[in-house]
Amino acid sequence: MEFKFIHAADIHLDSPLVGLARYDGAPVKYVRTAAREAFNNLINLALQEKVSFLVIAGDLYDGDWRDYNTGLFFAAQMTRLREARIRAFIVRGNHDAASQITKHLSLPDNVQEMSCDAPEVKCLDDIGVAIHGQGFSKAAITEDLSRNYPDPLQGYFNIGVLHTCASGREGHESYAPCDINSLAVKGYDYWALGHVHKREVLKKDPWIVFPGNIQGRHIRETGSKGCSLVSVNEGRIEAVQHRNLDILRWSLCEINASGAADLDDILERAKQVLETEIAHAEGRLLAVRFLVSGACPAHNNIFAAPESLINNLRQLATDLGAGHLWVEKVKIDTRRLVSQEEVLSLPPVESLVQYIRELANDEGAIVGLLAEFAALKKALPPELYEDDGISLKDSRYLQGLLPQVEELLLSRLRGKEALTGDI
Amino acid sequence: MIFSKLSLTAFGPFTDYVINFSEERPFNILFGLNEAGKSTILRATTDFLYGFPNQSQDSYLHATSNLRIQACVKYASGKELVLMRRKGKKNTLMDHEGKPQDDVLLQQVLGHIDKNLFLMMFGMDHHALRKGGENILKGGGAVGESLFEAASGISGLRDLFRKLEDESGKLYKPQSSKMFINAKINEYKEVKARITAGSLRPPDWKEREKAYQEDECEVRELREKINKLRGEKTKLERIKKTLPLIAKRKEYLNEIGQLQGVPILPASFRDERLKFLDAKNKSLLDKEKVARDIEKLGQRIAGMSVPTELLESAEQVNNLQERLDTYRTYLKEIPERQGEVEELERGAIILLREINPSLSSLSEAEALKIPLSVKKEIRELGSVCRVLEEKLEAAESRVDEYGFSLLQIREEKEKIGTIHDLSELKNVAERAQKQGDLENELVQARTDSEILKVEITKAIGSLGLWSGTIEEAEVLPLPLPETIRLFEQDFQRLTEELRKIAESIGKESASVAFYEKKLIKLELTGELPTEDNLSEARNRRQKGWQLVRRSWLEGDPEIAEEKAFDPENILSVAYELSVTEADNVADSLRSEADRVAEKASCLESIAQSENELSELRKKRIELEGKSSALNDRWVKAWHGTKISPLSPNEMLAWSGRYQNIVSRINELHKAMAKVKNLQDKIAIHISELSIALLNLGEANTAKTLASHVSRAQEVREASEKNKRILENYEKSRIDFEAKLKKAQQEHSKVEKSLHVWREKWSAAMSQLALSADTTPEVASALLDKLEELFQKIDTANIRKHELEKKKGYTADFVCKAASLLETLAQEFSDMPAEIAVSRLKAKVDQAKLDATTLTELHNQMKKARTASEEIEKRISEVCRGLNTLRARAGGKELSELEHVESQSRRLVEINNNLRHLDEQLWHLGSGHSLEEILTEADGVDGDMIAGIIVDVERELEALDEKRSLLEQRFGVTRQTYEELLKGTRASALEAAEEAQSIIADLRPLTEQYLQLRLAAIVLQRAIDRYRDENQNPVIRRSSEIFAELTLSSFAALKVDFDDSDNAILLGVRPTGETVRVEGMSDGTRDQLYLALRLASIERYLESHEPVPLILDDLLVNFDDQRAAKTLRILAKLAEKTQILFFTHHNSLLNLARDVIPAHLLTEHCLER
Repeated sequence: MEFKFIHAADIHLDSPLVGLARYDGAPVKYVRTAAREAFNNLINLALQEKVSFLVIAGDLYDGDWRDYNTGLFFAAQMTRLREARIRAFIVRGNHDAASQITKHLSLPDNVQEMSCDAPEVKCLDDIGVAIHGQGFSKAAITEDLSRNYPDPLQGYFNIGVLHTCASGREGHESYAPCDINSLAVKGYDYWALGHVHKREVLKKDPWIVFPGNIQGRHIRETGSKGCSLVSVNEGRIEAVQHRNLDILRWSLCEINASGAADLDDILERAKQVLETEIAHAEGRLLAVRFLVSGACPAHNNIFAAPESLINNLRQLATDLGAGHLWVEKVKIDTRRLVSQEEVLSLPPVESLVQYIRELANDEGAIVGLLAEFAALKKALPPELYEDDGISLKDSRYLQGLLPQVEELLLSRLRGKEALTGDI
Repeated sequence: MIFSKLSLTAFGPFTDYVINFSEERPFNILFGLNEAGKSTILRATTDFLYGFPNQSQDSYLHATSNLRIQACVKYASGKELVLMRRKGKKNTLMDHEGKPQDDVLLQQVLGHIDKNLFLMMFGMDHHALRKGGENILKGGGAVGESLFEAASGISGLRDLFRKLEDESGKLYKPQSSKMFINAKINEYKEVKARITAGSLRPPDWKEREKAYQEDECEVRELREKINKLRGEKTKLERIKKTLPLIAKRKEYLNEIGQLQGVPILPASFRDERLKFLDAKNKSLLDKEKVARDIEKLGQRIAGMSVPTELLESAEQVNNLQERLDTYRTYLKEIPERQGEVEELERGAIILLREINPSLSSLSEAEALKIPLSVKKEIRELGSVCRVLEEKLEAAESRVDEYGFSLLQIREEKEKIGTIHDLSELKNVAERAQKQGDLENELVQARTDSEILKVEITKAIGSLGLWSGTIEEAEVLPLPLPETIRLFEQDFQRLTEELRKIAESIGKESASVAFYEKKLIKLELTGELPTEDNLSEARNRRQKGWQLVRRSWLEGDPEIAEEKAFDPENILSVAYELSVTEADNVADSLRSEADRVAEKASCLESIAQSENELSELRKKRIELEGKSSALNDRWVKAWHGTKISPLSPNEMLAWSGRYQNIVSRINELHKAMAKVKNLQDKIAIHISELSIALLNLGEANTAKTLASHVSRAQEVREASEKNKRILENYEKSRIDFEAKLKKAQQEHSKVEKSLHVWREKWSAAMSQLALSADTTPEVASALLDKLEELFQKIDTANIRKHELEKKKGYTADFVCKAASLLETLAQEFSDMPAEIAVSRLKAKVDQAKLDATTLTELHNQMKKARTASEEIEKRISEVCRGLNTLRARAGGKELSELEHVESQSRRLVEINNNLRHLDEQLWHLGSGHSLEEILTEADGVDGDMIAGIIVDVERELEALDEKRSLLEQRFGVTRQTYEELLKGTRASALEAAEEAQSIIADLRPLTEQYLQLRLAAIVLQRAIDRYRDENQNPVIRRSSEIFAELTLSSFAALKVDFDDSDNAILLGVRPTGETVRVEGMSDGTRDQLYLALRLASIERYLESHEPVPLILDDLLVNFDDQRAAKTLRILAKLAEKTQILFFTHHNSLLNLARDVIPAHLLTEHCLER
C-alpha cells in the first residue's frame, strides 16, 4: 500500500500580521489576507499531491479571535478536500482549546476532531493507518499528554498527533511537555507535533517532526514556512519533505554600518543585503526589518535625522522589491566612533551624563517617572504592550530608553553643527 | 596644555608665519587691523586642534592638500610636543618628523571636548556674550540654566526645552485629537469597531442558519400548495372546455347507428360513374360524324383527272422559261454594240494618220509598236536630264561666291598689317601697378616727415634744462633711468635716516628738558645732595685727613696743598668743616632719600639722553656728509650733458619726456627713409616703361609714372584688339577655302554625269528613229500618242468579240422553243417564241396543282376509316366500367347508384368528425387518456363550473402574493447565508491587519514621544542638580567678578526663589536693593553672563588641565573702565591658563598695556 499525507500545525487562521506600519509605497493590497492564502496553498498542495489525509497538530485558530467567518473559511476549504475524498484530522492546541469558533462550527464529514478528554485512535482501514491523538481541553495543559497514548495497533501505520512544547522551546509556552525518547520508544511510525513555530526534525527514527507554522506572523518568525509532506510505502516512510506555503516571508536584514562615511554608504550596503534577500524569497512578498548597526562617522547625522535613513531605506525597498517588499521597521543601532565616555569631561555635561546613568540604576526614580506617563498609558491600545512593544507598566522599559535619551540630549546640546566624524 | 608656538606653514594667506608664545607671559594680545589675518589665525588654532573641515575656506593660496599648521604645545606635566596638522582624511596629525600621531595626544588634554563644545566653552566673542546675556533674560535668571549655560558655553537651554516641548507636543497631548499619537489612537479605536462590525459571532451564525432553514421550509410548503391548487384550476378549466365536445360526440355515435349496412364508397366513385356515362354518349356522336366524312371524300376523288405527259416535260419548259429574260435583253443590245465598234475604228485611223500620214489602214499600225523597256528608258532619261542640269547650275554659282569672299578677306588682312610682341610691356606695367599708388604714397610720406620734424623741434623747445638741434638731441649722453632710480633710493634712504635722527634728537632733547625742569623743581625746595656730592664730600674729607695725617702725624705738611684744600681756613678747621660737610651730605642724602633718588634718576636720565644726543648728532653729521657726497656724484652723472640736474625724482620724469623725443626722432628717420625709397622705386618704374614703349615704336611724352602706366595700357589694348580681328579673318579664310574646293569638285562631277547621259540619250533616240538632239519633251509627246492609238485598237477588238456571242444565244433559244411546242402544244406554235413559252409554262403549272390535290384526298380517306374503328373499341370499354361500379355498390341498378353514394358520404363525414372531436378532447386532456377525460367530466354540472373556477383563482392569487413576499425574504437570507458559507468574508481580518499596522505606527511615535519627554525631564533635573552642586562656589566667585565688572554698581549676586519656587539670580545693589535680570540693562546682563562664565572657567581649571582661552574682540561693547576691569580679571585668569586675546582696536591694546602687568603680557602685532 502506497499513500501520502500532510502534516501541518499552528495555522493560527486569520491572525493578522504584526508590525507592518503603513507608508507610501507599502504593498498593502498584496499583504491583506496572506495567512488565508497560505492555508489555501496548503489545501492546493493536498489536492495536487493527492494525499490520503491531512493532520493539523493544534492551534488551527487563534483563541481570542471570534469572527465565525474564519470557521466558515475553514469549512469551505475542508469541503474542497472532501470533494477529492481527502480526510482531515485535527487536534486542539493551547490557542484554540477554548475557541468559540470550534464550538459552533459544523464541519463536513471528512473532518474529524480528536477527543480532548483522552487519547483517541482513528483507523483508516482502507490504507491501514491508525492515528492517535488528544487535543487540549484548556489553554494551559502542563502534564505530559503523550504518556497516556496507547500502544501502536499491530498491522497499522501508527501516527501520534500531539501539541507540545516537547522538552521546552524558547519563545513558546511550555505546554504538554514530553520527553523525546519516550515518544521514540512508543512504537509509533511518525509523531506529528505542533506548537513550535520553527520547523524542526527532532528524530528520524522514528520521525518526530515540528513542521513549523505555515505563514510567519511577525519579524520573529523569519525564513520559509510550510508543512511536511510524508510519503509512505508498505508501512515504511520513504520521504518527509518540507513544502513552502508562505505568501509573505519575514526577513531580518542586518546592515553592518561600521565605518560608513555617510548615508549613501549605508544605502549601498543595504542594497547588497536586500538584493540577496529578494533572491532568496523566490518571488514572494517580503517583509523586511533593517537592523543598522556599527560604529561609524555617519552616526551623528543619522541620529540627528533618522527619518532620512528610514525613508531612504523604504524607497530602496520599493525600488528593488518592485512593489512586493514591505519595510517592517528600521532599527538603528549605530554608534559614534569615539565612545561616549571619552567625549565628555565638560563639567555641566559630564554632570548631566552622570545624572542619567545614575537614574538608570535608581528603580525608585524610574517608577516616579512612570507616573508622568499615566495618561498616555491609559490612552494607548493594550496591543502596544505586547511582544517587544512599549511597556509603561515596566520600569525596565524606561530604563532601556535612557541611553537614547542621553544621546538625544548630547546631540541637541552640541548643536546642529555636530561634527560628522572628522576627529 | 598651552601653545608655545603656532606656525602657519601653509594656511590662508600665510606661508611660514610664526607666532611665538611665552609661557611666562601667558596673556597674549594678538593685535591686527582688519584684513591682517586675525580671524585666520583664530581658525588656525581650532583647525590645528581638531583638524581641517572638509571644505576649508583657507585653501585659496595653498592647495587644499597642502594646508599645514604646525604648533608646539606644552602640557601641564611639562612635556612639550611639536605637532603638525595636515589636510586629509586619516593620520592628519604628525610629529615634527612627519610620523603620524594619534589625535588623542590633543584630545586627552582638551578633556575630549569636541570642536563645538571647545568653541562654546573656551572661545568667546562679543556675540556670545550678548547671546548669553539674552539667554539669562529668557530664562528669567533661572540659576540652574544660567550656571549650566555659563559653565558649558552652551547657549539656548531655554530654546532646547521649548523645542523638546514642541516636538513632544506635536506627537501627543492628553486632551487633543489632532496630535500624531492621539490621531492614531482614534484611528485604532475606529478600526477596532470595524473588526467588531465585520465579525460574525457564532450565535449570530446559528441564528442565521436557523432562519435560513425555516424560511426554506416555509417557501417549499407554500409552493407545493400553490401547485396543487393550480392543478385543480387547470382540471376545472379543462372540463369546462370538454363538456360541449362530449355532448356532440354522443350525437355522432347515434347517427352512425342509423347508417348501418351502407357500404363506404371511395370518394372517387361518383366521378368515375359520371365519367363513364359521359364517355359513352360522346363516342356515339363521333361514330356518326366519321361515317359522313367517308362518304364525302369518296365523291371528290371520283371527280379528279391529271395530264401526265405535260408533267413529264415540265423541266424543259421551266428551263426555257428561265432563259426568256436574257433572250429578250440580247435582242435589244445587238444593234447598239454594232455602232460602238465602228466608232472606235474610225478614231484609230485618225490617230494613225497623225503619227504617220503615210499610213491609212489599221493593219499597218502594228509596225509602229515600241518595246516597253525602250519606252521606260526614254522616260527615265528625260527626268534625269532635268536634275543634272539643275545641279550644274548650283555648283557654278557656289564656286563664284566663295572665290569672291576669299578675295575680300585678303584685302582686309593687308589693311591691318603686322602685330608686335607685348609681353615685355605687360610685365613692366604689371610690376609698376603692383606697387600701388607710389606717387600718392610719396606725397603722404613727405608730409608725415615734415610734420614729425616740426613736432620734434617744438618738443625740444619745451623740454627745459636743455636746448639744441634734433641731431644734437640724438646724441645727448644721459644717465640711465635705472641709475637715476638708484640715486633716488639713496637720497630717500638718507633723507629718511636724517628725519629719524632729527626726530630722535627732538625726543631726547625734550627728555633732557623734561628732566632738567624736574630737577629744577626738585631743587626749588632746597638743593639736593647727590651721591656724587657725598663721595665728593667724602673725598674731600679723605683728602683733609691725609693732609692732617701728613702735617700732624708725619710732620710733613704740604702747605700748598693745604692752601688749595681750603684757602680760607686753617687745616684743622678746614678738615672739621669737611667732616661736617660729609656728614651733612650723608645725612641729607638719608633724610631726602626719595627726592635724592628722584634727582639721581633725573640726572641719570639726563646723562643718558645727552649721551644719546651726542651719539645722534655724530650720526647726523656722518649722514650729512654722505648726503653731500651723494649730491656731488649726482651732479657728476649729468656732466656730459651740460645739464644742471634737479632732484632724481624730477630728472626721472624729465628723462621720460626726453626718451619720448628720442623715440619720435627715430620715427622721423624711418619716415625720411620711406620717402627716399619711394622716390627710387618711381624712377625705376618710369624708365622701364619708357624703354618698353620705345621698343614698340610708341613715342611717349608723359612725365609721371601714372601717365606712363596708362599709356602702356592703351598700347596694349589697341594691339590686342587688332590681334583678335586678324585671328577671326584667318579662321574665315580657312573656312572659305575649304568650301570653294568642295564646290569645284562637285561641279566637275556633275559635268561627267551629263556626258554619260547624252550618250545614252542618242542611243535611245535612234531606236525611235529620231535624231539625237530631239528634246526629251518631244520624245515624250510622241510616246503618249502611240499609247493612245494602241489602246483604241484593242478596245474595238474586244467589243466585236462580245457582239458575236450574243447573236449565237438568241438563235439557240428560238430553235429549242419551236421543238417543245411541236410536241406539247401545237395551238401556240404560231405565236412569237417568247409568248408561246410563257403560255406553255402556265399550262404545266396547273397540271402540277391538280396532281397534289388528289394525293391529299386519298390520305384523308385512310384516316377517317382508322378513326371509325377506334370509336367502336371505346364504346365497349365504357360499358364494361359501368358494370364494375354497379357491382361495387352492391349490385344496384345504375339509377340507384346516386342515392347510395350520398349515404356513404355522410357516414364517412360522421366518422371524420368523431375522430376530430376525440383529438380535441385528447389535446385538452393534457396527457390524460380519453377514458379519463370522459370519466372526470361525468356528472359535472356545466352551469356551476365557471363559479368554481373563479373561487379557485381567487385563492391562488392570495397564495401567490404570499409566496412572492416569502421568496423575496428568503432570497436575501439565502444570499447572505450562501455568501457566508463560501468563507470568503475577510473584512474583520482586514480591519485586524489595519489595527496591527496602526500599532506598528504607534510604536515609534510613542517611543519618540517618550524619549523627548524623558529628555526634557532629565535635563531639567540634571540642571537642578548641577545648580545645587555648583551654586555656592561659582555664585560666590561670580558675585565678586560681577561687582568688579559693574564698577560696584552692584555689590553682589544673590540666589532667591520666585513665585513658582524656582531658584533665580538677583543682582544686589550696594544699598542692599535687589534687581532681577529683567531690570538690568543689556550691558549689565552681558557682564553677569561673563561673570558666570569666568567663574565657571576658573572652577574648571581648578581640576583640569589648562586649555587656552580664545577671546575674539570680547570687549568691543564695553566702556574703557569696564574693559579695564575685565582685562584685570582676565589677567588674573591668565595665571591659570593661556589667554589668546584677539583685537583690532588700538585703544584696547593701549588699555591692556596700562592695566595688565607687563610680566604677564605678550603683544603680537599681526602683519601679513
